[in-house]
Formats: sequence, C-alpha cells, structure tokens
Amino acid sequence: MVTTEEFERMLIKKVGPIGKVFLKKAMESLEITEINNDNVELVIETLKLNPIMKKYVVEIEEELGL
Amino acid sequence: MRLAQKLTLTLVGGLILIVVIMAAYPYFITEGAVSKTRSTVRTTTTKIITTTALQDAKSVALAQSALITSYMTNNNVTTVQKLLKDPVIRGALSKIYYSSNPQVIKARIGILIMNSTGVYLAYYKMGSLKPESIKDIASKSEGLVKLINNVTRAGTATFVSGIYKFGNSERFGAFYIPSDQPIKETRIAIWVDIPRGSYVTNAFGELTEQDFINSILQELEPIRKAIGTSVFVGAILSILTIFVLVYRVNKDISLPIVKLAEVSNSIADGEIEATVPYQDRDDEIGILAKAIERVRRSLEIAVKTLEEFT
Repeated sequence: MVTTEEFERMLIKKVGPIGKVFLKKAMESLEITEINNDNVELVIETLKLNPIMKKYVVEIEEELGL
Repeated sequence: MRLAQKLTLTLVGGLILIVVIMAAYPYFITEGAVSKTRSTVRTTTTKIITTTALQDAKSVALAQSALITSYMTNNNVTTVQKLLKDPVIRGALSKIYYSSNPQVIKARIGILIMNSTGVYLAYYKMGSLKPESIKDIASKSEGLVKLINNVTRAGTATFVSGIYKFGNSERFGAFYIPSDQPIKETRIAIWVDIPRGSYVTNAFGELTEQDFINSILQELEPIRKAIGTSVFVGAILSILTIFVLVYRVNKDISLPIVKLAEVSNSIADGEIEATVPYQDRDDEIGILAKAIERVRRSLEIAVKTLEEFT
C-alpha cells in the first residue's frame, strides 16, 4: 500500500529537497490530496513529464514494481 | 563495515598479534634454557655447598686433632664417641651446620671411623651424636653404604662423593680422608651431606653465594637475550601496526573526504552533472557520498528546469 508520506520519502531520497516541490506541484495539477495504489502510476507519469526528473523517478517506479 | 569497526579490528588484530608473539617467543626460545638452568643450578649449588661444608668440617676436625689425640687411650668406638661429645668440637660443628635460621641448609656432618672393630659413621641425630655401624646404615641407605665401601678402599687426602637416597630424601654426600690421621690404627673420614637442590645461605659466605649467583647469571643469559629479542620484535610489530593504521586511515578516510570535497566544490561551481564517487561504500563515507549525490540531483533538476523555462 503506497501512501503520500512513503512516496514523498522515496522521492526525496532519490532527488533531494526539490522532489518535495515537484511532488506538491504534480498533486495540485492532478487535483489529488493523497497518493495510493490507484493513483501512484498517474503521479509517476506526471513527474516523468520533467525530463531531468524522469531518469530518477524511473528508479522509484522499479522499486515499486510498477 | 563501518570505519570505526575497520580501524578497531586493525588495531586490536595488530595488538593481539604483538602480544601473542611477545608472549610465545621467549617461551619457545627459553624453554630449553630454563630446564638446563634448573638442572645446572641444582647440581652446581649442591656441589658448592657440600664442598664448602666439607672444607669447614675438615678445618674443624684438624684443628681439634690435638684434643683427639689426648683422648686416645685405646682405639675403639667408645673413645671416639667421647671425643665427638666434646663440647668444643660439637660446638664448632653445631655453630656452622645447625643454625636456628630456617634458611640455613639442612646439612649433616659426621665422622667415618674405620678400624679393626669395624666401620662406623658418627653423626648428629636429633641433637645427639650417635655412631652407627655400617650394618645399621645399610638399612637406611644402600647408596651411602656403597659410597662408604669406596671410602674404605680409598687412600688418604682423597675426596669421595656421590648421590644416594637416605630415607625419602635424595642427597649429595662427600667424604674426605685427611692425610693427618689423629687416631692410632684408626682411619677417619669427614662426612658431609646435604639434600640435592639445596640453596646457598649466608652460612657459607660471600664466595659461595657469588659462585651461585654467577652460575645462575650465566645460565640465564640466553633468557635475557630472548627477552631482549622479544621486546625488539614487539617494537617492530608495534611500528608496523601503527603504519598499517595510518595507511588505512589515509586510504579509507582522508583521501575519500578530500575527493568528496573536490566534487562538492565542482557542483557548487556549476558542474551539476559531476559524478559523486564512493556511493557504493557501506560506511560513513558512503553515507556522505549519497547525501552529496541527492543534493546534486536536486540542483540538477532545479537548474535544468529553470533553464527550460527561462
């Protein structure tokens, strides 16, 4: 079960504090307040729209087995 | 493995190696020397003490020869027994060999009397002087009787010695047959014996004690050398351990920190795609490298995103 806190922690671990900023913007654009198993792939795809972010978000995607 | 563990293991391993070598080396080197020393000290000391005691006994006996002659009305054991009960002779002998000092060796002194009536050994026993025939002696010590038989066949001014068991005690004994035989038609020999392995005491003066010390020092020389070598080896190993420790501190800590500082400076100077080394390490340096890499990634994303929108 993926949660917002867990995903944020994973993202920060990969890309540092900028990850928190990008995640907030992605969630705002998707109009969601929580991340769960149903919307995590959508969040990842949104983050991948930034080409620099993409190469690091892929690592999270692999870790989550998506 | 963490750096502290690595360094501790290196230090402890080195110290254990040093301690083991320093402890074991003298043991193996000196085991033979110690064994030889024990044996030599026992034999040498016993001989020194017995010889000294015999010389003292000889002096006492010869000094009293005039007194002995005056007692000689007839040549039998009773007369000699009287003679040995003489307070002057007895006092002289007691003074030397029957000290109240417990450190003084338990020497026995006596006179072997050989004449037509038989062979008798007169010596102090439980504070009194009692002549015993060779048959009485045989029941106590066959070895001593064999030695006495050699004495009866020996000429004057002769020294006869040997090791024998007397009761439960192993002893070194010596007889001296003086050329000046004070009793007519009777041969006497002065007898001294001491337990084997006895230690020298003040009773025998400086010369004997010095001989004893010298013999020990001579035999202990290999041990002293071995200990000296051991200390030298230990010092060399200590220096090697310190060198290994310094090398590891330099290789595992100082050098990586310098490299990470250089990479951090490069990133700060704008090289945001610089490769951060040591991320695969599972220690404090690895933790530091991973943290720098995260900061680098943050900067990379932020800077490149900004570049894209400006």
